[in-house]
Amino acid sequence: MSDNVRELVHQCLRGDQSAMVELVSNFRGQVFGLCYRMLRHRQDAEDVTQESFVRALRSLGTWDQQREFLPWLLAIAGNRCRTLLAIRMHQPATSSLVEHLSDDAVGIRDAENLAEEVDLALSHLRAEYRQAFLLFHQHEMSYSQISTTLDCPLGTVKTWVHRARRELIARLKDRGVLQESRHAVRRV
Amino acid sequence: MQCEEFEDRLNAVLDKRKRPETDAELQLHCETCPDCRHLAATYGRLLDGFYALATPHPPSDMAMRVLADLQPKVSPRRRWAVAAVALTTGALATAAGLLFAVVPLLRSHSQVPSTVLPTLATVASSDQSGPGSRGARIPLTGRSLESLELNQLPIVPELLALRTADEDPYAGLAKETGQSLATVVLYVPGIGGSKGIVDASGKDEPAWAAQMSEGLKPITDSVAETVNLLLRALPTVVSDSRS
Repeated sequence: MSDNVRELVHQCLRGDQSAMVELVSNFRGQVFGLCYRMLRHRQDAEDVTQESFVRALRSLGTWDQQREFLPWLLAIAGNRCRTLLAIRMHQPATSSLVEHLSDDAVGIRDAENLAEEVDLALSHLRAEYRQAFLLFHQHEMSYSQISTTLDCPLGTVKTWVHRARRELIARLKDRGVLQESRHAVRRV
Repeated sequence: MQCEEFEDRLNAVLDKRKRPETDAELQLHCETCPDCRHLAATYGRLLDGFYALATPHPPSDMAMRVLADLQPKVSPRRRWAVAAVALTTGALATAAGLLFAVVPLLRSHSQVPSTVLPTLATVASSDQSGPGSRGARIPLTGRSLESLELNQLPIVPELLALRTADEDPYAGLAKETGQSLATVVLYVPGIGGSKGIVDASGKDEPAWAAQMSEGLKPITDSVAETVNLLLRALPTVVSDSRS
């Protein structure tokens, strides 16, 4: 972690509001990006991003300064996202992008729609798989960092990312976005 | 390499953030195995699709929203209480002014012993004691206000606390009490600070703060200066009331 961030954190701990503004501005993109991909709903992502920063600033004193700041921050955001996803599971579905896309025709091939299909497939992953996949591919964190962030063994993180890839491909094939091999019955 | 090993190898390559086609061993196998070649292509397509996902922009006012959330919430009942404190403080200040005006009149038109007259310092310091302590009992009757020490004035305790603040008194008291600037302004009405009127933008009670602080513009840049200004103004009030 850079000394700049550490200094910013120290200023925040002293109650400097301008430092808090700078800290939020520096990391809002990463936190919002994760929340948006996890939740696939802009307003929810904004709310969870805001809540994550508030929690982080209130518990800055508990952050181990020997560790990197961003994984710690993303861990808070990821936990909030998973909590919201768990709540959603117990609520009746509302209109969302997921439903909109589900009505789309199968067989889309262009890059833009491929991205949308990947986004849709991501939403069907288990929250742990999705978060691990996003931290690895979107935030380019190492398995070691993700392991710390998610507080689970490194081997587990690796398994989650691999399963996420495999399940995404399976779903894209089910949707007809990716073709099955014509040559043989695929192994599972 | 066997087909059974291909996908594990493929994932290992992706774990190193490399494309499947950059790995010689995978390439070699793909040349003779169309199934595995297809599998490698699907992984490539998946990542192409993922990286093509548009990254949404976070809201630009996120920092202000976070700061507003960090401010202590003030319930409507609490706001009424704060407003009541402000009004009471104002009323006390008015009463103090009137008292200063009336006492000299009483002295000039009656023989009532000064010891029975209520004294502002007594009112202000009923919970204080000891020499040199804040608000020590000093009869004010007949004394020149300018001769009084600041800590003998019957002003809300927060005002006296502000006197020792290093910089901006509003910010000093806000930090000390954990209250928002808006709240501090209400508790210490009419006292100027270097920041003066609270900047209500982005706070969680903007309309309320703006409304309440409207009539509380700072008089000077420091508390001591403001108090001295008030002290100098008081004899004028006395002479006005006499005429």
